[in-house]
Amino acid sequence: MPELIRVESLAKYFPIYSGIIQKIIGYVYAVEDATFAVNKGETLGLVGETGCGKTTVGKLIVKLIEPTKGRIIYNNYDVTKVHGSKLKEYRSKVQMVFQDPYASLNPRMIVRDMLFEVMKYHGIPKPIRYDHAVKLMERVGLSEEHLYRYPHELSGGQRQRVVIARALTVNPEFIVLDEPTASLDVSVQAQVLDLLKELQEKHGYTYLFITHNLAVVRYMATHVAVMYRGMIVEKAPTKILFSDSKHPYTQALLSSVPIPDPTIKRERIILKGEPPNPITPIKGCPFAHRCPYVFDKCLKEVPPSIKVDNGHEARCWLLEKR
Amino acid sequence: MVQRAQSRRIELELRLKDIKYAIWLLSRNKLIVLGFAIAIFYIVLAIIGPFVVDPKIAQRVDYLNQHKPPSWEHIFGTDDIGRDLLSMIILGARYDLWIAGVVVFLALSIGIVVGGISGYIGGRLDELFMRITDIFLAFPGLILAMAITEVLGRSFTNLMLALVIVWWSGYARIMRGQFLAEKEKPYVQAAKVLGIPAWRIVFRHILPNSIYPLLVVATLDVGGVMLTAAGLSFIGLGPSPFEPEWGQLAARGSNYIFQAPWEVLFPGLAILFASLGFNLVGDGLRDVLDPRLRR
Amino acid sequence: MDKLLEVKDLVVRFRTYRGIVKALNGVTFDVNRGEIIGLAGETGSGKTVTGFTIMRLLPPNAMIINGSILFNGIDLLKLDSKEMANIRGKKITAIFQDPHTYLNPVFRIGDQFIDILLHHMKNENKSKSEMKKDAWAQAVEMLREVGMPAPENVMRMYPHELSGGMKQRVMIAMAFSLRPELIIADEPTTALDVSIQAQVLEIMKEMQKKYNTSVIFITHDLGVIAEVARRVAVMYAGRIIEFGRVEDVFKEPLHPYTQGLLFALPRVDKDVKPQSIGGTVPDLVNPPKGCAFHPRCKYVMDICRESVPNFIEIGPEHYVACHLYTGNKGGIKNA
Repeated sequence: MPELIRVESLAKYFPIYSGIIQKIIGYVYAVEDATFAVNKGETLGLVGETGCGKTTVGKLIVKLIEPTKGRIIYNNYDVTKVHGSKLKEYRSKVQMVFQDPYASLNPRMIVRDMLFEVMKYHGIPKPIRYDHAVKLMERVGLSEEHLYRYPHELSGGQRQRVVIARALTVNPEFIVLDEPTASLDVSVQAQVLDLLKELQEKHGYTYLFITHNLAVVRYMATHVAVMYRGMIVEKAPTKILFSDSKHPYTQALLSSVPIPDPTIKRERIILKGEPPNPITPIKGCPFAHRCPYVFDKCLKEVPPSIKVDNGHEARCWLLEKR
Repeated sequence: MVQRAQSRRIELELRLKDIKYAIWLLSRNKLIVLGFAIAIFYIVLAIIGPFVVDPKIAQRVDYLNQHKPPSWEHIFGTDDIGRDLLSMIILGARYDLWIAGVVVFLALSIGIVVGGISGYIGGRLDELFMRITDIFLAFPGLILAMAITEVLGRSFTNLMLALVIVWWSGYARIMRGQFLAEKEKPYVQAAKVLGIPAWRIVFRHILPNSIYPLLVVATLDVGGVMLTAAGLSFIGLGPSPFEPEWGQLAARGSNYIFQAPWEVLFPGLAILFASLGFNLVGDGLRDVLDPRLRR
Repeated sequence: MDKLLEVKDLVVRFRTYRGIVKALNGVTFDVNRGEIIGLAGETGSGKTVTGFTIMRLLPPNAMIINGSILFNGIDLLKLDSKEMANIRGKKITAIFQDPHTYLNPVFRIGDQFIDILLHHMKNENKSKSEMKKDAWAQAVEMLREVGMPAPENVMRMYPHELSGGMKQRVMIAMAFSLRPELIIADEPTTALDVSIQAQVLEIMKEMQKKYNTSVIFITHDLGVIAEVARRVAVMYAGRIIEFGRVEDVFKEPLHPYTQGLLFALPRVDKDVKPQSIGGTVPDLVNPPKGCAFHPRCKYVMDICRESVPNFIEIGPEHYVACHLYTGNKGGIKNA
């Protein structure tokens, strides 16, 4: 499968302003040196806890915000600084499904008008718009009557389907999904995940699946990247990440997810302390202060992404020792 | 497949459903129903006033009928120039409602534009606009209005101008806050990612969702403007005595408060009930517009 | 085991614009002393309403139609507001999902904490400042117990200076400080990151064991319930449809809904394909006739459409409300 999108050493620092003259007094280091690639038709799961920078990566890829450093390459074309008509073209290929379906829909528009609006600005001629809208509804498992509903008249699962339908209006190739099932009930979540998989099989969409839910990632993703404090600390194909992870953070994360089976007893690695504040610049490995295997070098130098195996890398000085 | 005509009908049904829900919500609270009734009554009065009462009696001085107490002939009594007070109050409805309506509308327009641009563009422009707004907000409203009318001269239009200048800054602040908040919301960001042009996002997405708190404040302000205008007339900065503005009437009537209390009482009550009515409408609007989104 | 709480046939309705919402339709379960019970369910199942009803903290448009809540033998529904206020906070207390409902942002942690302690302290002929000192020391001790680093410093901080995990620890410390007999925890860890959630659950388990407090743990996360609870009650459309020990319910779920719920979960420890249940959650203004789950049930029989199945005991401490097990005898025609 050829590579569809690649991200190289992507970084994003948000300046913190103060006072009337808007002086810069510091930065929020949201994303630091992120590098990964996604092949066509596959799903990369981007996992991490609150504040790790995964949502920011998503926003960088759909160009809601501009990167401070690094490059984004889409279909062998450097889109890092793209704007104007090229940006519009990019927008018809790369779309985003946001986290909270209620907040990502205009509360004062009915579904039909939302879809019509997108179609209008992507050059879909008036006469076929209605038919196109009905087909989109059916594709996501809704019906024509849902076109006439306001967001507050739909259930959580239906809203999420509308958000997906809206993203599909432009017929994209690559979709960034930011916690698409986080606010849904378990039974509805299964339906939406099935829908996403089905769409991928039928139409060949490529996904970047951002979530903090490791169980969902195991089901949905072909590859996984784990983020901590703005950095990707481990990347691997899904099966390998869940069976043979190398980074201490990944291991701790996997062991702390509650399993709905009381007969399984595990060795749970309970981390001490809290995730670091992204305002303080990095010195050494960002995970050093909570790592059970920390040694001298970890506190002084930031580990690079070290290759473990084909497609498996991790940022940990432990790997150098071998 | 639904035909074009059918889809229009479905839309109409939807709108009707919304209106029915809004009316149901409003009718739960008796006070709000009362407020609406009062407001509608005053508006009707303002419209039909000159047809019910001959406006020329406002100009006529009748020395024989001065200071007459309430009677069957003059239900509210007469004022110091001998005019029937009831007629004056009916005619005055136009003036006060007109002042309140125009002032609020203009102040709202200026405030929306300034606040909207400020909130949307942000950065240094925002800081600049907000400092200017703060300067206007810092002045006590009445004092500023007095200063402006003194400088420009006593007249109906100058009174309104002064009030607009005093009032716009409050709306600008609210609008800016709303814009800032809505701008970061996911549905706006989603619209950006979907390739919808910026101007359309501002007018079709951000604006309609930011404007509702402003409308609520505006209805409440209708009462407030009326009171302020009446106050200014009271100190003598309003229109001439031959224009039956309520504040005017109350001002002159206050000179005879012990001999002829009805001359200040009835215009005062007219102002009181008008602002009360619109205040309650504002309350009702707030109830309708907010929980609607949380239905 | 000794029964601390017995809820029987609780029926609660809400008056709303769309009509009367039948939130609880005959909830029955019990809690033993020192036991953690999981109350599981999705949105609209009635789990939060159940918790609030036990605390008698329902909104004004709520109507308690029927049922009894026996706490140490006393029916809480028959108490007046003063008697209930005595029990609330001291004997029964609550922990919520959002620490903002518990912590006032304009007061320091320490001040809020001793406020609670002083309110319930017995007047021991000490001066006010002495009592304050006692309360302060007690609070610091509780914070230390929940593993808070530098508790004396934390007492002087404001809520916004603490992270989410730390705020939940404060809440746990406050809840246990009065040594209640029952704690109702409504989604206490749902908003926390996985690694912090693990920490907080550990603390809760430790404290619960130490003080022998019973806990009703309300959540939609079945993984968390499997971790902390001894027994679990699964709710659907305002009724408990299965109740039993976690090993029994999770390994051999009896009710089709419980089965559906467990099969819908993706797993971190093995490769599974989540199965969706199909259909939608019932409208509580117009719930389906008979068993509320029948429109979505793949084992549906004629009787399911007609009568609500009784809650009957199938195995030791294992109850279920389903016609597959009632042998077509136990059913109430449309409660």
